Amino acid sequence: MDKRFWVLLGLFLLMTAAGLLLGEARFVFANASLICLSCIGIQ
Amino acid sequence: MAFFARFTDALARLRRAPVQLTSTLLWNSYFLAPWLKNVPCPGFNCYSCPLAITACPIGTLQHFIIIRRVPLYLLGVLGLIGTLFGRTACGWTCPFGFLQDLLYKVPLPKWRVSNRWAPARYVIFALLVVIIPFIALEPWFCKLCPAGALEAGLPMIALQADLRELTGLLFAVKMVILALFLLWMMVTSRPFCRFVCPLGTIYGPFNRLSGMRLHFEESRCQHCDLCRHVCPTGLYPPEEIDTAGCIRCMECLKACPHGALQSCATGTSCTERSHA
Repeated sequence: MDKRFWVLLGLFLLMTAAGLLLGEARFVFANASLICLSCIGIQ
Repeated sequence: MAFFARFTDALARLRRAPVQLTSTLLWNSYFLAPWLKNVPCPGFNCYSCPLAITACPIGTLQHFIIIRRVPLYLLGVLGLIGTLFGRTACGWTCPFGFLQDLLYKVPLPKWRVSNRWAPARYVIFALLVVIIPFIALEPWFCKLCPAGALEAGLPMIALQADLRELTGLLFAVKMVILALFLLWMMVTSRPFCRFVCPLGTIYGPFNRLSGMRLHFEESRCQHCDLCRHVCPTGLYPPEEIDTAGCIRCMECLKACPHGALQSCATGTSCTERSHA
């Protein structure tokens, strides 16, 4: 396999893991669970 | 890795529409898995759609920019999807892409638009997703997004009377943008993906780096141009397969009667599709 592929795969796995450890998934959940008034076109 | 070649070959044998329909229903099956909203959707799907179970990656990205945080988790997940499969999600699992494929079947005179305007999506991404939200602290892509207008704006206004009273100029602008895109989708194949989509803009560069690859074998090409006619993004596959504009729908692989377009994995030899 291409070395760049493995480097990228490792990098993005690390980023995902770091984000999860920092609790970003909960923020994504909270944000996505709100009604986005911009998406609807109100605000 | 043989996995990617086999995976690509398997995809090329599937009919795309049923996969797209299943994905669209899956990403909008709120009663099945409402807890999945902490996972970015691989395709373009508004998280304010009443039925959406996943988070819109572009809306999430803008909100992280607005609160001045680097979205490690979001970029990590999008990077993983891109590194493994490139833009395959655009061709196979994106609900908005599926809508475009359906609308293009409407029997109207077709308008071919040159891909020389495709770099517009980089400008739109930089301005509406990154720079303006950073400065104005508001998600300006969401404010103008036609997918949001269709999947969130119309159903939410229909369902909630109190929201109806709040509609004004922005809502009208959003509806006009939606109407223009819906008309454009009927006459031009995949215009949103080619000229606007910020998610495709993120995935695009991964096509040249991902584990899954498509390959053109020049010695087999008979220059029949069948591949050009079936490409939904208006590419010329012998020269542009696997470029950032390729959504990896595999239509060219299916159409080529000579096996000149092949699936392969990065760093390995390519596998010719067997043709009946």
